[in-house]
Parts: sequence; structure tokens; C-alpha cells
Amino acid sequence: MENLGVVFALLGAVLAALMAGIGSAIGVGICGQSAAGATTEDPNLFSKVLVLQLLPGTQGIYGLLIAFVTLTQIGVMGGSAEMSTAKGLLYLCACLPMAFVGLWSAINQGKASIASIGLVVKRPDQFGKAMIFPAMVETYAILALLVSILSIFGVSALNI
Amino acid sequence: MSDTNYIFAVTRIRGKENQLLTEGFMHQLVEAKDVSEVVRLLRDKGWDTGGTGDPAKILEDERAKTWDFLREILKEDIHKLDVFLYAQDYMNLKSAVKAQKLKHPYEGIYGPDGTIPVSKIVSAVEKKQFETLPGDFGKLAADALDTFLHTGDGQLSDVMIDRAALDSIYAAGKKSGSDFLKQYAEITVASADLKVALRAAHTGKNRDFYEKALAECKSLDKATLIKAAEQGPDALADYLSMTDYAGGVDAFRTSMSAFERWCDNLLIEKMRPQKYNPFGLDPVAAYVLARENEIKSVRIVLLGKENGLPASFIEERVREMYA
Repeated sequence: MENLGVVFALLGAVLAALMAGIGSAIGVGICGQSAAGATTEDPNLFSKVLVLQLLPGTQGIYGLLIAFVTLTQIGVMGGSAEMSTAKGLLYLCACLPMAFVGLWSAINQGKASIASIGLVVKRPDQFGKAMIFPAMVETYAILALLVSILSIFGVSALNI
Repeated sequence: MSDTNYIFAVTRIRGKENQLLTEGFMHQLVEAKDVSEVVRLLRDKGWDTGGTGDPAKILEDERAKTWDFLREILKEDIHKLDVFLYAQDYMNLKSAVKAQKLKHPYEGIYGPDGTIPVSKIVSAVEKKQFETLPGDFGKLAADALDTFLHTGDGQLSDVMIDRAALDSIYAAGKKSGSDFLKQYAEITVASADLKVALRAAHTGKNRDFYEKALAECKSLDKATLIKAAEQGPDALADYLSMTDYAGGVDAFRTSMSAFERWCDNLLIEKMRPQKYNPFGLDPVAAYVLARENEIKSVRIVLLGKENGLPASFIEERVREMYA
């Protein structure tokens, strides 16, 4: 039980990668269906709808980044992986913003992207505006990424 | 995530919506000098791909094209749109019953297939093998044929079949779980009831007829509707002004065709928000109605041109477009 700290910390890293990854997989997946429909109707739209499909994929990358930084900080990637239970729990808490916001923002960004693909199908010249709507959702994923990163570095500096 | 079930289908519908006929184009059709010019304009929009130039064939092909496309994008879920095909089944049953009594193989009295192939309905009625038809529909076919053969009253069997059609549309709308299809069923049944009541009020039908012909729906009170119909068209219009369909009173008082147009336009108005809905079956259902609506409008234009009617007369009857 003396290594419970690293278990919690690893759980945080896993949740960040797992939940943000699931969100991105769902978001990109549902957008893919819409993009396929758009390309069936007009193959010239492929490059435009591909960009919109990829937008919900970024949360998965952010989750991976948080997981990687956490693993590096807790010493799982090399070095000593020993820490107190309290510190492990703090790492877990630090990873949660990215895990939860990553999951929900990716799914909702996917839905916004689908609506934008519909817009592009109807008005291909409005691609620039169509990009903005799902991109707005990205703001909150970035905020969660920042909070998680700052927290992880803050926790690593604590002597507990 | 159930709202993400039809994403591929809805995006394809968005693409097809670009090809729907617009108000401006319909105006062009109305102003065309004859049928051949209407057909030429329609060809520019991708209609009459077979190049037949035959108005009836063009309309039939467009309807077939719509349903082929829907089958392609919905696959096994196509049955969820059965509510739009029930009317066709019952129409074909009416024709089959009449053809049986008149013992004459009339050509062209049947419409396209609904949910049941026409050949199956005709064969079941001809051979009196009603068990080959689905449950209630088979029973209705047997009752309608029996009524027609014994009374010789075509209207009575028609009323039975029309009422059953409305009941099945209403039940399907309620069962669908879709607010849009529920609304479609409600408006369809209510407008059919009002049209039947108006016609019957003009011809002085009795209460028994109303009880048999009018279907139940939420937006109209059947007992009050019957009472109003018995008092005459003015009382009916007064009752209408107290319902959700008060906006149609003027059209109701003007003529049956004006009221029919108002009802169709009301439906188009109610389905317009689906143009901006990226999820679920509702935008697909709205597209079906949009296509049916434009086919109906083009039919009105073609018939008008065939009969040399003035553009203003045709324009008054053309429906609002969804696009």
C-alpha cells in the first residue's frame, strides 16, 4: 500500500488519455459519417469536410500530452516512481480537467462539425464561417489542457 | 447518441436539398407557354432523365427516384417512413375493390406501390385470399369488398377504407416517437377530417356518415366537428376559427382547393425548421414531404398547361416550396 501514490497518479494519466481519446474517437467517427455523405453528394468537398472531421481529433492529442507529461513527472517513464498517496491523488485531480472536458468537448465539437458539414454541402463558399462554429468548442478543450498542465507542474513542485 | 443514427443520411439529404425546386423556378414553370416548355425546364433541373417527355411518366419517375434514394440511404430503416406510404396502400385497395365489382381489368387505376405491392393487393382481392395481406389491412379488404358487393355502394366502401387509412397514419405517427412525424400525422388527419366534413356539409350527409368517415385526432373535437358539419359550412368555418387551424378559415370559406393548398402550405411551414436540423430521421422525413409537395405542384402545372388554363389560375394552386 505504500506505492498507492503512483497508482493514483497513473490512474490520472490513463483517464486523461482514455476519456479524451474516447471523446475524439466518437467525435471524429460521427463526423466521418457526415463527411462520407457530403463526399458522396459532391466529391469536390472532400478536402473541406476532411478538415471539419479532424477538428474533434485534437482532444485525443491533448489527452495523450497530459498522460505523457504526467508519466514523465511521476517517474514511470524512467527514474523513481515513488510518491506519497496525497501527491498521487493530486496528480489524479490535475488530470481530471483534461479527461472530462476532453470527452465532452470532443463529442460536442463533433456534433457542431456535422452541422457545419451540412452548411458546407449547401454553401461550399461558406467554408471559412463553417469552420468557426466547431472551432469555438476547441477553446474549452484548450482551457482544460492549460489547467491540467499547470496543475501537473504545480503538483510536481510540491514537497508532500 | 440516438440522435446520431442518421448522420450520413441527413448529410446526403442536405446535398439533395440543393436540387429541390424553388419558388422562383415554380413561377417560371407557371409562366411557361405549354407542356413542352415545362418539360424542357424540368429537364434542366434533372427531371425526365428517360427523355420520354410524357408528363405522367416524368412524375412517376421522380417519385420512384426519391424512394430509391431513400432506400439507399436508410437501408433497413426505410420502414420508419411507412407513414408516408400508407395512403397509397389504401388508395390501391379502393381501386382493387372497385375493379373486382366492375369485373374489368382497368389499366392505370393503380398507383405506385405503397408498403404492400399492388400486385399482392390485387391478387388477394381477386382470389379473396385476404389472409395474404397484413392483419388489419386484410380484414379491412375483406369487409370493404363484402360491403361493396352486397350494397353496390362504392362510397360506403371508400369511406371505410379512407377512415382506416387515416387511423393507420395517425397510429404510425404516434408510434414513431418522432415529434415531426406525429405532427405530420396530426395535420394530415385533421385536414382530411375538415375536407370530408366540408364536402359532406355541402351535400347534407347524416350523422352516421360523419361517425364513420371522420377519424379521431387531438387537434379537433370529433363531436363538435360533427355538430358543426350538420349545421352547415358556415358553422364548420366558425368551429375552425376556434381550433389550431384558425389561419385557414379564409381559405376554407373560399373553396376546397384553396383550403387544400392552405393545409399543404401549413405542413411545409411546420417542416421548415428541419432544414437546419443535422440529426435524426426528421430531416429525412421532411425531404420526403418536400419531394411529394414539389411533385404535386409540378402535376398541377402540367395539368393546367395541358388544359390551357391561364397562368394566374395555376399559380393560385401551386404549393409553397420547401427549398
